[in-house]
Amino acid sequence: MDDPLLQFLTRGVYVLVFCLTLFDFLRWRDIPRLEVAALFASLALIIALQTVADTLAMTLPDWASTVAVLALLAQPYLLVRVLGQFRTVPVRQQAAALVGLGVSGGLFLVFGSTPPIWATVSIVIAFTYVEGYATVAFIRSAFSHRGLTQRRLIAVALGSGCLAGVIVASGLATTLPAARQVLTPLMDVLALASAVAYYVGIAPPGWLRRIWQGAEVRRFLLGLSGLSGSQRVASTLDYLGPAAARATGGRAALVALARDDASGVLDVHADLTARSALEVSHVSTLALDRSPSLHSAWQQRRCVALGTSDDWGWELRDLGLALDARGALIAPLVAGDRTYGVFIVFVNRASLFVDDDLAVLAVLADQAALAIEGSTRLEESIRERSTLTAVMSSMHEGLLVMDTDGVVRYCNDRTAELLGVERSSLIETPAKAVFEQVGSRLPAAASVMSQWKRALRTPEKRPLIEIELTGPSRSLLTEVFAVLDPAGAQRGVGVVIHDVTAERDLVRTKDELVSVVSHELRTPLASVVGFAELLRTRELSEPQRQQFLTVILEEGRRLTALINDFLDLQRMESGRQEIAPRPIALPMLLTQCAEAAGEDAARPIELQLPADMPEVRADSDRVRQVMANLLSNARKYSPAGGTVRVSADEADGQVIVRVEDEGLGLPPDAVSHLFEKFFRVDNSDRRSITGTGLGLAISRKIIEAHGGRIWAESEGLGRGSRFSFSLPVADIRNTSGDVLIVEDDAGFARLLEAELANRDITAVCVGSAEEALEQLQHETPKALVLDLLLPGIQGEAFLHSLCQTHAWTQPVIVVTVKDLSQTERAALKQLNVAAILRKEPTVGAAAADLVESIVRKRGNSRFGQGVAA
Amino acid sequence: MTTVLIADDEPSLRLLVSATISSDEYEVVEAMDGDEAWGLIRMHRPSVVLLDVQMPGRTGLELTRAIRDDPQLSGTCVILLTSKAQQADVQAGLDAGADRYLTKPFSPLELLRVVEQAVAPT
Repeated sequence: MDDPLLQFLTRGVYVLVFCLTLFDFLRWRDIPRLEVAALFASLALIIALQTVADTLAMTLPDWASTVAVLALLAQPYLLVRVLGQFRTVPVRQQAAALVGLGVSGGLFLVFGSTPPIWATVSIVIAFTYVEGYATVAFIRSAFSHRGLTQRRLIAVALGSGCLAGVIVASGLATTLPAARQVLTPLMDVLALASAVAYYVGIAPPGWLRRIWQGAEVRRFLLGLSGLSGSQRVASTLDYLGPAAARATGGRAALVALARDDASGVLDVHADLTARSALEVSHVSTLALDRSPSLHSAWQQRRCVALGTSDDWGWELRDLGLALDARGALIAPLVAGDRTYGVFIVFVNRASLFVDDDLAVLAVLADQAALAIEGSTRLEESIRERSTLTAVMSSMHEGLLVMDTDGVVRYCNDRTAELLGVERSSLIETPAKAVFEQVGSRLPAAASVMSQWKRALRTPEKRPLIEIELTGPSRSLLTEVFAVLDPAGAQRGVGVVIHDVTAERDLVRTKDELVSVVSHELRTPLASVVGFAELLRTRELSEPQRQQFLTVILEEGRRLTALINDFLDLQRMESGRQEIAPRPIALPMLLTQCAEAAGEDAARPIELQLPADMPEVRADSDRVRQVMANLLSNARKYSPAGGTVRVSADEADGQVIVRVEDEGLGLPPDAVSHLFEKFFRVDNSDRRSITGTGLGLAISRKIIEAHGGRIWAESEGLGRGSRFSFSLPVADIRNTSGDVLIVEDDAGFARLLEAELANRDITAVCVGSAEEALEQLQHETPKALVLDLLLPGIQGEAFLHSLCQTHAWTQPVIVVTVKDLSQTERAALKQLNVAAILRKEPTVGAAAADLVESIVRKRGNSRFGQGVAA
Repeated sequence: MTTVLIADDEPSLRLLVSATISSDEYEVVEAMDGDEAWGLIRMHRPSVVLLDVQMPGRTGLELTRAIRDDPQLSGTCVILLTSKAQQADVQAGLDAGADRYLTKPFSPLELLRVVEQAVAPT
């Protein structure tokens, strides 16, 4: 080494590195640091002795030179020892290093400072081999690490490489003096480079570490910022693992999140790269109390590096084994005052350089915790929001929230529906403008506003403020409340809107009914009581007595009829009056009705009935009641006499019966009210005609219960009236068939029957479950088509009883308009239901296809449950 | 002879009133709706009119107002017959100028007493 400056610098750096490693060792006092210190001590020793000799311009005593050279010769071996801290050094190589040290040491001791050329070459080869091996190993190790460790390992490799270069050059210079001119400056440069590289690798200065750490953290944050606003915690976690592993030189990183229940159990979240390790180790949770290291990191909120000698706890240990990692870095994820979980980075081994990685991990953990906090909050708030929205829009009540400026900030769909405006036109609209939108339907808008304001001032009373909307009329009850934030400050005003239209209508109808009934009852009662009193208190002639008694009797009968009719109607309306439809022949029934009406020469009843009338499905007693009412009306309102004609004909699956008279007729405005309770045509020509006012209302109920319709027509006053009603035609039934169709919608049943007939499949149609049970006594069909909504016993109940008590095993196809839930569907499938079809006009063909496939299969082979749903 | 008019659409009630009141002192005129009643009131100028509140044509309340608005009918005593014992109707009737009201069913003797009181010189 000739250049004094380079020489000085080189020596200075080496000594500095030695001092730093020595301090490091003194501070930590562990074997790995001792080995590093020893490595640089070997170099520092020769440098020190050389420097002393140079300074004092003396030759070193032999013993000193010997020690110095032996120390230098030990350097490759020591380097291999240090290498062992980063990767496993094969025993072969360890032996080679040791042999190299022994051979070079021995040769040096034998030959002293002037060995023969072969000895020098041997020493150089041994040194270079080991040094070179270490260099390559460090480089490979560097590639298996990442983050700061990788950078430092590269630097160490560079240092070793350069040092090997120096030795080779020095050996060459000894053997080839001619090349010394060229080799000396090269040696100087390589020596300095090696010193600097070692410095950077082994004991990097603080500023350099910060730059490196900064780069890693920056990269991490850059990736993280790309995720900002991510709505899912999971996607944030997916990023955090690999990014932390990369930044800290780990094999893989896991994020373990604490459960909300403070149970001390963490759920491990692994990204794709670490997932296999979870599967291999069967670890999916970590319990804090099972891993002291984890527990201390969690409890003390500090980063911990685990080496082979630490107590990991079996879960972490298993994960480590699965990842072939002998070291782990743990950093708690703390944001605010909440610890969300831990970051666990698995590393090859907790090397000398682990502190740097731990420092980086600490920074990453802080950022990660913030990101997790953000994602968690966002996810929670989105979940909460969607739940809230679902709740609000499913509410039967309207809900409207205004801010303190009276601008609508939120309202649910129901609000818009109740107010009859678009929801979008309500949001962000001042309440005043909302009232304007509702406009003419709300005449008392100003009063409502002032009532709301008053209600807000008396929150304890929670008054209900009524809003009456006109055209269409709607009664709403509103309840206002102040929207308060947790601190109790008013943030806005909420309004809950109840629709009480139905209740109000009910109350009104009831009031009206009570008033009408009381009037209707009191009138005849007044006569009964009045005449009875006259009879008791007055002397009367016999004809007068008779007259009064007759009135009492008539009015008493009228009261009875009224009460009977009224009860009858109540029963019909409440659905308690059941009808029992059966196929009946109308001509006979109508003839009997005409006979029952009795003889009236002035008002004869004439029947015009076609010979080939189909049967109708009806309750004959009830039809008689309707006919009796219509015939009696026809005669009553024909005071001047006239023929009453009864006719019937068939149209569109229905039979229409007409009762026509030549009597008083109907004013046009009365036609639509005729079938209302207690409605009486108010005209002087019919004042004396009495009645309960309930007959037609009852008739309407009866006909509607049969699925028919009743209506009145008249050419006008004095031109007679025509009352008509329809009844469904009874199905012309097969009594035997492949398929049993249980369907009360005769139209659909017939459609399906026709579709099946096209496919050469015969069907029996029945209109109720009761009839189906009867039919099943005679015959077991190959399949059953069932409507769920039936008169009387419902489809589901029918199927239940079929399966339980009749051991029914044939396939069933359900055709229904009902919206069935998954549970209902599943329940039906348990009852031999092979398919559920929605009843639509077009479903006939599809149902028929399905039935065909079932019937054919059934015909050819033993039937299994293999029918497609 | 004092003339009493009964206006009611129920024939049996008209018969009851007429049977109760008709005597040597009282003549009863019957009307079966509000319009007929108005014509008969103008024609006969009865001292007492018994009006059903709820009847076709003019209602009892309308007739009461018409009677009170007609100076020629100033001495007429108006008695309402109501089947609704509802206070609102009664009040409306009294406000319209009716002198008394009777709620159906009423006692014929009570009716007679009310009519006698109405025509008795005060």
